[in-house]
Parts: sequence; C-alpha cells; structure tokens
Amino acid sequence: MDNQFDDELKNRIREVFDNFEDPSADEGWLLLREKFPEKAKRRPVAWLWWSSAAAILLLFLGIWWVNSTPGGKKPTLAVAPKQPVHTLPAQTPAGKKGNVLADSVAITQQSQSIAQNTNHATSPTLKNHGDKNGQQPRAVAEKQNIVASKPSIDTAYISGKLAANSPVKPQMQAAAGNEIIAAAKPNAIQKSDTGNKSSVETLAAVNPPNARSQQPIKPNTLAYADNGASTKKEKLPNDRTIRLGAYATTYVNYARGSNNPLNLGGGVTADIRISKKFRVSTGVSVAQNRLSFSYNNQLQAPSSSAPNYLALAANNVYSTKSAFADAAPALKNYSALLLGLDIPLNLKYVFSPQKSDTYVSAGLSSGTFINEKYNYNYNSPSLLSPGAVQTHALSTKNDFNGFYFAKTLNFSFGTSYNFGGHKVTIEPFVKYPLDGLGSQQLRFGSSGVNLKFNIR
Amino acid sequence: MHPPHRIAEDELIKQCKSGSLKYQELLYKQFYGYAMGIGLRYSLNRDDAMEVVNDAFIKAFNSMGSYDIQKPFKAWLRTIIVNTAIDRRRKDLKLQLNIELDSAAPISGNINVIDSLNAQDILKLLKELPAIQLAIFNLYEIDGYNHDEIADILSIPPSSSRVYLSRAKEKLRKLIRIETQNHG
Repeated sequence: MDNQFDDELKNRIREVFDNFEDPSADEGWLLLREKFPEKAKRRPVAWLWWSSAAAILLLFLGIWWVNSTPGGKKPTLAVAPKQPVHTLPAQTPAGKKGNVLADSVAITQQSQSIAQNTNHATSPTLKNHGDKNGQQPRAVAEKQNIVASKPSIDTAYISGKLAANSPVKPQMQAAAGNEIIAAAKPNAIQKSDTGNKSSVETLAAVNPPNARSQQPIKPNTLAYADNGASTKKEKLPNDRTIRLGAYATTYVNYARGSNNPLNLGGGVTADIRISKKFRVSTGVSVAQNRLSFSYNNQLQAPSSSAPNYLALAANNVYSTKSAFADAAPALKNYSALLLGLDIPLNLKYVFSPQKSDTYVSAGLSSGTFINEKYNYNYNSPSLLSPGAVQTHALSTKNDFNGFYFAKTLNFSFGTSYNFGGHKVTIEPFVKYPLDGLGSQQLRFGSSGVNLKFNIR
Repeated sequence: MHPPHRIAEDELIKQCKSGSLKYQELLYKQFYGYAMGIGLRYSLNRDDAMEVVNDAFIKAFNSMGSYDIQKPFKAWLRTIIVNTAIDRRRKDLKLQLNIELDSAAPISGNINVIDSLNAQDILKLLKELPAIQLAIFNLYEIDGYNHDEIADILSIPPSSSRVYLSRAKEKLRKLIRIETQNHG
C-alpha cells in the first residue's frame, strides 16, 4: 500500500514538474544577464585601441616619410672616377656665376647648351656657347673635353635632354626622360638647381687643367654611364614605399529587404609597397550607412535585418501560445542609421606600375560604429478591441558598441588620371558582409565609387 | 499572420555553442520552465529557485563547448541544475545532518488525492521536509540517482541516504493524510 502510494506520488511529481511552465522567463533572463555579461564583446575593445593606435602610427609614419623627402630636389648619384678629374681655369662663366668650387673649375651649362655641345661630342672642334658669347672659347673647350674625355671622367651628369639629343649612342636615347645621370667623383661633380626648368649643371673638376690632352670619350662610355646610372637612379615618386591619399566616397548600402539609399563618406588611405606590383592598402574612413526595411505587417522578419527583440518576438518568445502570437507586435518598418569607422586592409595588385596606376584590390575591413540609431514602428493589435491596431514608435541609440574584426570583404578596381598636376584615382568598390554588423547584427554591404586624391 | 514556431533544439544548441547571445536567450527561455520545475523542488522559495536556475544556465553556457550534442540536452541540463541546487544548499544540508531522525510512525496516505495535486500543492508538501530529506527524496525518487551516487554528492554514507529517504516518504504520506482530512 505504501509503495503504491509512493509510486503514485513520485509519478505525479514527475508529471507536474517535467511539464512545468513558468511565466517569469523574461525576468529571469534579465537577472541572468546581470551575472552573465556578454564576454565576446569585451576583447574587441582592446582591438579597437590597438587598431586605432596602429592606424594613427601608420599615418604619422607616412606623413613623416613624405616630409623627410626633400621636395623638388633631383636625385644625385655619384660614382668614384677611375682617374683624376682635371681642373679648369677659374675664369669660366660658371665661375662668374659663383658655382665654382675652391681649387676647381666648374662648368655650368644649361640643358640646351649641353645638348648643343653634345651634338659635337664626337667632333674634335667646338662651335657653340663660346662663339655665342664671344668670350669663352677656352672654357667651352674645357667643357667639351671633360665631356669627351674618357680617362678623366668615368661617368658624367647628363640630362635627359642631353641623352635624347645625343647622337652618340642609341642607348643614350633610352635614358629616362628627365633624369640626370651623374658620373663623377662625388666631391668633384655637383648639380645645381637654378630653378629653371632646363636645369643648370655644374661639373667641378679638381685636377690640373690638362684635360685638353685627354682622349675623346668613346661612345660606349656614355652608354655605360647611362646604363649604370639608370640602374642606380633614385626611386621615382610613383615608387615611394608609402603613398598617402585622401578620398571621398559615395555608395549605396544593400541588405536583404532594405531600400538602398545613397550615402557619403570619406577618409585617408596609405599604400605600402611590398613588391613591384603588390601593395598593402590601409587607412581609416568615416562613412554613414542607412538602411530601411518595410514589412507589410509580416511578423517574420529576417533575423539578420531586424531588431533582435522583434525577431525574437516574432519567432520564438510566443512560440506556443497563439493568443500571445496574435497580440504580438507586428513590425511595420524599421530603419537604421549607422556612422561607421572603417579600417580596411587590402592587398592591391598594380597591373603595370611603370605605365599606369591601374589596379585591383581585395581585402577585409574591421572597424566600429561611432554611433548607431535604430528606429522602428510596429503595430500592436488591441486585445480589448478586435481589429483595432495601434502604431508605436521606438528608437534606440548606441555609441561605440564594440569592435568588429574582419567582417567585411572588400573588392575594388581603380585607375588613376592626372588632373591639373594631381593624380586622381577613380575606384569602384564593393563591400560584402561576412557577418552581422553593429549592435543589431545587421548584415549589410555597400557598393559605390571612391574618388581618391593622392598626396605628394 | 504566420504562426510562430519554435527553433529546433539542435539548432539552438549549435548556435549556443558558437556563443551567440541571441540563441542563448532563446535556449534559456525555451527551457526555463523545465529548469524552474527542478529548481523549485530543491529550493526554499521562488527567488532561490530562480538563482539556482540562473547559476545553472551560466554553467551550461560556459561549458556548452563540452556538451555532446548526441545526448539529450534536458538530461544534461537537469544534472547541472541538480548539482547547482545541492551546492547552494550544501550548508543547510550539513546542518541538517546533525538533526536526529524523527521517529514518525508510518502512516498511509490517500492515493486518490494524489492525482489532484498541482505544482503548488506539491511544493507546499515538499517544503515541509527537512532540507536533507528533501534533497534525497528529489535525487532518488524524481531525478533517478541511486543511494551510492547520493552518498557521493552529499558526502554521507549510503545507509543514511536510505534512512533519510524512508523518513521523507513517511512524512509526505502523513502530510497528505492531514491535508486530505483538513479538506474533507
């Protein structure tokens, strides 16, 4: 009898409590969240700091690098001569211009004069410059000899124009257009920039003025000088290790079920050259993202594009109670305005760095949202008056709510044009979401065009 | 209007394993009633039970990675809740161990009245039991532990577990009889 009673009681207790329902789940969850804060979002705060610090450091390094490169100064390359360089008399026109070094004679020529002179480089007679001035035949002869004497000058400054005009050797014509090729002892040969477009060059020689007796330079020597210098010439501005730029962007956001309003943004970018054709591109941008969803009284909103609470309400919370489901709020429309801070890290492939700046790039974006604002309107049926519907509006705001890491895939294609001396890059792009973004985990991408201004 | 549906248990658990707060909330709310049913049987009051349940869910979320999805989730959750409840009342249970067993005579209850007991009635009856008897009754009769396991959990000899269980059942019979008499 007792055993039967005990079994009955046991079964009854099991039956009652295995199917126990308790209405305080929401309250319980709130209490649980006090003890159980979301851990996953704490760590990215450190990421935010580190990433911001890295971006700022990169920016300052880039600015420092740009500033440390003397603007407008032509590269100089000096090669030690095999033989002493001869000194010219001090009363040359170059000396009068103050470009003569102590115990040496400098020969100053404008590019045009050099070109003229070089036309006669293989000729034993000199006709130009001195004749023109009517006073410096000797100095000109000296110049001619220096340029033409192989033993005394192993290498020589030669302007691009000189190279182009010189009939000496075809290789000369292949020399870089505006590059100056240096070929003399560093201390003996210098280049001065008078500010004129046709730059003035000074050759300073330190040896006695017996250059006239030197043998004429062989064509091969100039060619050698040209080729040697070409390989050693300083990097072109396009070949800088880091290139900075600023850009403005216009784009549309896209998400399933959302309208696609036009948005604007802007930022700074830094390209770091890692090889001839590859660059790593990074930067910081601030961009506005707007999304707008309409649901036409459908409760089932896509979980990736609706507020969590309403999605939960729609899908789960009232899952087994149809009365509750009927009285549950129905999402009417929903909009999100997110001001994002984006930190991309892209790998850029430049098709032909020497000819043009056309490239494709791909990479990932990390970042945070400076602020997020969500507005949603929903209809809630009145239980007291069947058929009556009340519309409610609700809005929430968040500032710097966590950091997302590598949640957006970037693709872009760009090409550069020169506008008034500035290089402008037009770059169509697509950003594809790999995961939900923001506090509501909205999964949205963007597509648009960047207009980049490269900073020299 | 589309009728809402429950998310499949497997999907919930899978998402919880990946640490999704949203799905943790869903899981919590889906199993909250079940968890409270266990927590209330072991606790002194409702607030106590809610704390037991929340502590158990936090343990469950933190150890979700080690949960074998092939095994029934309810059984796994039940174990966590029971252990949490026992741990929470361990101090009470130790004090109770020093109390002498009462020598209530065996009294038969009314079987017919049992079917009409609801959760409230049962909890009222269980509250009348000393903590140690309540724990052993729940562990053995409802949650399926044997005396050796109970002895391990409560750090008592298995024989004591048997005696406390016997006393608990006797007391429940007596209480039900009194209740039946009181309500005609």
